[in-house]
Amino acid sequence: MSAIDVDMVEDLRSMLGDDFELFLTTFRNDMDVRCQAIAEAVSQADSDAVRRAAHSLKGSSSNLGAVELSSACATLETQAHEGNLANAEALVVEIEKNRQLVLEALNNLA
Amino acid sequence: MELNVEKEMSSFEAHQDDSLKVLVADDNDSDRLILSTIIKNAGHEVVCARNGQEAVDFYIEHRPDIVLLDALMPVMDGFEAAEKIRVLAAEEAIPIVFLTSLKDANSLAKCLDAGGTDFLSKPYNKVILTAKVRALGRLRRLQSVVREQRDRLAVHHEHLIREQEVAKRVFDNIAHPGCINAPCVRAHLSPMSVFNGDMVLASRKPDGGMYVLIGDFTGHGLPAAIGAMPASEIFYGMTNKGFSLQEIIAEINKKLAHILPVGVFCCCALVEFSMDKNIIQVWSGGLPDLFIYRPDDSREGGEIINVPSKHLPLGVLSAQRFNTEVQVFEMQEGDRFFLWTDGILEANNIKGEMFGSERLVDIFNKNHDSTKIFDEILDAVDVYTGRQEQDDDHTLVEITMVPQEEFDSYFGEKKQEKLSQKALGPMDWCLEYTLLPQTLKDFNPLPLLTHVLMEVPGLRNHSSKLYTILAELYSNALEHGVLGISSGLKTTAHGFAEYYRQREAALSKDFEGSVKFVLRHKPEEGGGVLIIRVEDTGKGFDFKGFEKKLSSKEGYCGRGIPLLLGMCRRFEYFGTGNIVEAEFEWRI
Repeated sequence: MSAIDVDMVEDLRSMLGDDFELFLTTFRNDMDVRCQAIAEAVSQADSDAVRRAAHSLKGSSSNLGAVELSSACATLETQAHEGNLANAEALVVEIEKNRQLVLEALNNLA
Repeated sequence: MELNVEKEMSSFEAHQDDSLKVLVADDNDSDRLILSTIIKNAGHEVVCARNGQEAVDFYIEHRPDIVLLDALMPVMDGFEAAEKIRVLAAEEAIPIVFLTSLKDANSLAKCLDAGGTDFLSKPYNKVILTAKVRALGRLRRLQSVVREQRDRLAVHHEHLIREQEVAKRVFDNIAHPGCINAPCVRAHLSPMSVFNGDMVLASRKPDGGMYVLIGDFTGHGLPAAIGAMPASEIFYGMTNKGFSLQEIIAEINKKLAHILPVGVFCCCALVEFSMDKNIIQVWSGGLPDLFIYRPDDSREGGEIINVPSKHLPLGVLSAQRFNTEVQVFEMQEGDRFFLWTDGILEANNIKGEMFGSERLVDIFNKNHDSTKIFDEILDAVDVYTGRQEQDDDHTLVEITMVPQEEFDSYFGEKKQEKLSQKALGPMDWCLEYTLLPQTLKDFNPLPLLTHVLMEVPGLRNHSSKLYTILAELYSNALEHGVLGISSGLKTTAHGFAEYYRQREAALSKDFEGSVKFVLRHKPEEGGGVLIIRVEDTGKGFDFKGFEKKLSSKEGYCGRGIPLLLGMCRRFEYFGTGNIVEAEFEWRI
């Protein structure tokens, strides 16, 4: 199973046209920023910051069909919203692993 | 007013593919790029904001047609931004769509509470997003068309109300209050009654009596108000000049028949109150039965005398076919005469049932205190209809029979017209005026003569007395002189009706004779003197015996003469008693 939905990404490519490269750069950058923000917030046990960053990455990754990444973010977001950071460390690892997979998949695009 | 809904709607349809201005607020750069591209590709203009505060700022700056807001954003979240934008948009129904991947019910409810119109969830779907934006654009245009039309309607409505208020002020200025505020008169009218077609007019006659008119025009609004102004002008004008009830009602009918559109007419009663003689004369057309209420102190309720309508409403028949016949009723002090339009009888309760005459009669039968019955009727109708007094449309008038002196006292201080130091006008003149049979039959000379007298400054303040003198002398000359009707009939209040019948009958037959007025006015130091001479062709009467009787103060003589003696400085009979002279003196 691919880390992203290639059809969805192709749709985005045809829709965005010249802006597609800009979009990929923006997305990669955003992913870096959010993942870093999640890790930092978890280490500081700031559940609200965790929730916001996870929520944002959940949404943006879903636009590329990055289901695994998006659902890991969703789980973290929900738990953070409940103030529960017990599994947060494990979820940060899961998210980071999926981020790598998405990056790889994006690099493999034609 | 032109309300061109179809035109508005077709222009709306023609523009529905027009581009919209869409504000997109999302803190996520890549999401914002996708969203704005989808919307741009659909042909709309996009304004991008990165947080809630920017969204509010850009809303103010760009006034977009649609706002797309991410729920969770830094600086200011989507909920707060939505609330602020709603306030800024005021009554403009701006569609606000929440971009959210929030799924729990609480969060979604929060979006709606914040003023969200719709949701859009990630991942964004091009087809759904485009369709949604288009649909919201259509909704927005429809709302603005509705709002524009509503505003236009409101403007027109306000304009109409203002016009009605102006018209009412004009009407109130023309229709001076007459004597509707006299203590023996009570009238209830809705404040805008002139536009529900009801009117109540009351005016004191020059001879000290009073006319009261109640009218109910068919229809509502301006058509119902058309007739009110001429009717009141005729009523007050003719009353002041001393015209009779028959002449006034005929003139109003003539005017209304001429000006009212087909299908608009006026149910009306005109009542003459003679407090001194304790009689009333009623002309009533098209109204429900009016009541004379004679309270009985010894028991609950009292006697109700029905006064039915005998005629068609005003404005229906031509002057030739119009009938001025009146009903005469003897009254007693304390009797109350009730006039109403059908508004009271037809007042509906919530089930649509009418108040009806039985309930009305019941109020009278249960009455303990006749001074309260007016309010009892109004209260009962309000309770029955469940409406407040201020939005009713029924009209009720009550006249109480009071002694003449009590009635006069209300006008006592109000009557004196200020006279300029140097009175201008005809001061020395003589007028001779002879009425022959044709004219005697159906012409009342009193308004004409009063009019001539009123040209003399100073006499105007005595119009009531002068009218009384002229009226008494003329009716004596015509009725007892030319027509030869016995004055004995008038010795009892009961005989009045018979007297009027005989007069009517005599006038309808052919007769011979004439009545001659000679009026002579001379100025005197600080005033003047008016000599009224009335001569008829009748056979006269034993005025010597009559004068003796007067001097010995023997009872009622039937000619109203004692009254005149008190007003004139000289009062003399000549010839066979067919000539009389009265000298009236006035001072500034």
